[in-house]
Amino acid sequence: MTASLNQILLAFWRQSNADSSRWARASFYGVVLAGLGVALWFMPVVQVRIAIACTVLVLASFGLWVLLLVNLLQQNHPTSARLVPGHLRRLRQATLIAWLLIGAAQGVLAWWALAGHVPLPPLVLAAAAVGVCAAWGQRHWLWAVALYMAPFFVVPLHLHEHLAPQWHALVDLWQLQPWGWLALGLVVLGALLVRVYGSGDASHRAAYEKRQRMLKLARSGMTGNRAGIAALGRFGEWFAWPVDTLAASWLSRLLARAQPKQASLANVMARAELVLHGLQHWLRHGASVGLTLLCVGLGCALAFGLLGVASGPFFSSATFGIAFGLGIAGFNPGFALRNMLWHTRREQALLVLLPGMPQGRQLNRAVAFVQLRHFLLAWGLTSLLLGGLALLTGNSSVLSMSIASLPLGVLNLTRAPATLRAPTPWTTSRPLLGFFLLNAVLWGLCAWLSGLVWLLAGISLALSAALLTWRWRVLAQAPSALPAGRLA
Amino acid sequence: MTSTHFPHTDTPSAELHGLSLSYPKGDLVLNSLDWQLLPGQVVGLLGRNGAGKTTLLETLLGLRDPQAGSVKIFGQDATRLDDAVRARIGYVPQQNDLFEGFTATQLLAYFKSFYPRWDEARVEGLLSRWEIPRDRPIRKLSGGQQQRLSIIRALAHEPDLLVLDEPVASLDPVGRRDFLRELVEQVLDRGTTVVFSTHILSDLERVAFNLAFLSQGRIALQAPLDELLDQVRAFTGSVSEMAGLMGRLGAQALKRTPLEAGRERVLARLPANVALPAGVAADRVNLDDLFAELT
Repeated sequence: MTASLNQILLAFWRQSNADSSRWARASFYGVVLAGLGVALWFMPVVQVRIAIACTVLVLASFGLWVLLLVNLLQQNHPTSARLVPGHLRRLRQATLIAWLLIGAAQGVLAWWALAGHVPLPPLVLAAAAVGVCAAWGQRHWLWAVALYMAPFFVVPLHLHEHLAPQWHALVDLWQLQPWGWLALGLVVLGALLVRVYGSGDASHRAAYEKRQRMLKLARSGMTGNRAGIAALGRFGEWFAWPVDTLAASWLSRLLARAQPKQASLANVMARAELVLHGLQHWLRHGASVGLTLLCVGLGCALAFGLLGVASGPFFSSATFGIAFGLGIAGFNPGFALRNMLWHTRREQALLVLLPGMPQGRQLNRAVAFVQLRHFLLAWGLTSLLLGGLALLTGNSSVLSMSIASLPLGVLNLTRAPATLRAPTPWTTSRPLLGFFLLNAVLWGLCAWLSGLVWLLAGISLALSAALLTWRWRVLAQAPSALPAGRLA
Repeated sequence: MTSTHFPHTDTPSAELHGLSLSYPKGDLVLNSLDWQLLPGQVVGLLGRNGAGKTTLLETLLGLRDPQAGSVKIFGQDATRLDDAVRARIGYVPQQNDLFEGFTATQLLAYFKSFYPRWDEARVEGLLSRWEIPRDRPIRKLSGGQQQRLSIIRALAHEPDLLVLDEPVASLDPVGRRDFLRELVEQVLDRGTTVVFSTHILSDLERVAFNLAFLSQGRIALQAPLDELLDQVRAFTGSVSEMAGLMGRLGAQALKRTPLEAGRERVLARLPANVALPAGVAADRVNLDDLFAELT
């Protein structure tokens, strides 16, 4: 029994080692711990230090629990559940042991963080309940979204007021026998937790296949090959339907205009762009962002109109979040399109053989042109939205995102595709991290000196123009762009 | 051959009765199928693409829920097997189910911890002979190496029932030969019941003592390969001549194909030790013909 339990729990560690670079992981944890240590060192009050350290540890242990769950659910293969003796039983035992240990640790840490103002039993029960919710959230992602979003609706819907009598009755009941209720709660939660695993039947098989597909898409997404929202299942398919319909219409239109004997370069490259950028094609990108903005807009209108949330304070307090969301969605092509060239390299081998496709220097510039056009158009529209947000909130710092992204995007998209290396999670996130870092510096500068934003915008435009001029010349001398990555 | 762990018994290793299964919004894949696998039997399961071979093998192992019928493995309901019976089953699925973040060594150590018996010497021997890197993540192994590892995992706990779904699909000819050698040894040493699906008919001729043809959701025919090659003939003639001939010979018509001008071609199985009368023309058939005609 111990051997198989050890193997199940060890699998998490072994597979984590195989999944990511040891150095990248060590560097990440090193930076986080060093940052936390420095931050704590400068905290003047000891109790605040303890509270922050304990909170960070609670969050870290929650992260550990989620990662462990992902792995344990992966081990719950339908074939193993059905045919390997004792596999499901051991998996459940391992999960219960880990859940109890982590839940207890989180409860104690939270108790320390709150300096004993809240008794230990409810904290342990709350931590255990969150652990079970996280487990079921892993199995049904829509549940996870609903659960994580639920606390944000408590105050706007005045639930804390409506449910106050029931809550006080519950607290009175709890105080009669706190340890007994804790034990009962843990038993019920434990029974719920182990039901997250399938026993190898048809429904388990279907759920496991869907989950594996999503994990594979997530891994692929980490190297820049974004999956469409349709991959999330039926809900995703409904949401993606307008985008797919638009993309299909665009394809039909392009094909109807295609004339093999007299094809214009623009038409050839418009067709090639469908292949080169796949799900990152400008039409899909624009339609997805538009649809998301529409949904968010409707949500805001609902909140302002029906729930009485004041729009002014909302936009002021959520400026950074809105700007960040807009920036990620709008400036993404500057960082993602290059990786798409690597992911479509096999199709490119066929594409370059097609009649009408430009060759050599003309191809290099044509590929760079379609990528830059997409990025610059998205950049312009996003900057307009950010400008509107700046006017609305009186906070011009939000424009730092536009200032930071322009030169980085231009530089990224004018590098020679032939020497492109296979993207990894690290190389994919590196330009984005650079963007975030630069943006943070510029945001701080703009907040410090409000007039500086226009100067920085001028510098950014000039720098981008200079970069574009230089890289455009270099592209003419570069090896043929497609298939991408063949000289890496 | 008697297993050292389980004495010889005439109880079927697996028994499927009245099995019907269809996919949601799909056609009937298995249609009142009856099938029996006896101890020590080696059965090659044949069927066209999409005939339902994988579905049948998965249902046999309780991995799919049929709409009707029952499946018993070593006398137990396939969906409620106890640990002792589970330990007697080996399975190589068509889709690789290896945990890809593991190395080969880690994967085998993982599964070893669940089984009451584990032939470590054999595992080591196979890993060496089949040149499988022990410490490289499984996702970095070639398709053939992953397939071999899956086979090693299935053989390591010395199963009494071995179910293999297209086990040689990713293997080169040398790999297939090595695999078949292991399979034969397994059968000879332990009397294991083996059922495997494949499209490579030459492999069946080497090891499958029995062939089962899956067609239209049923096992259309199951018989020893030698008998089939010896007893099945193709006859051509008018419909009335054929009816008379089948009656005289006591032959079992397996398939009738209408031809022009009231003639037909009949694939028929003759009773054992019945010689064809003089003057009756019949064509011998090979395994390719049987596959084409019976699936």
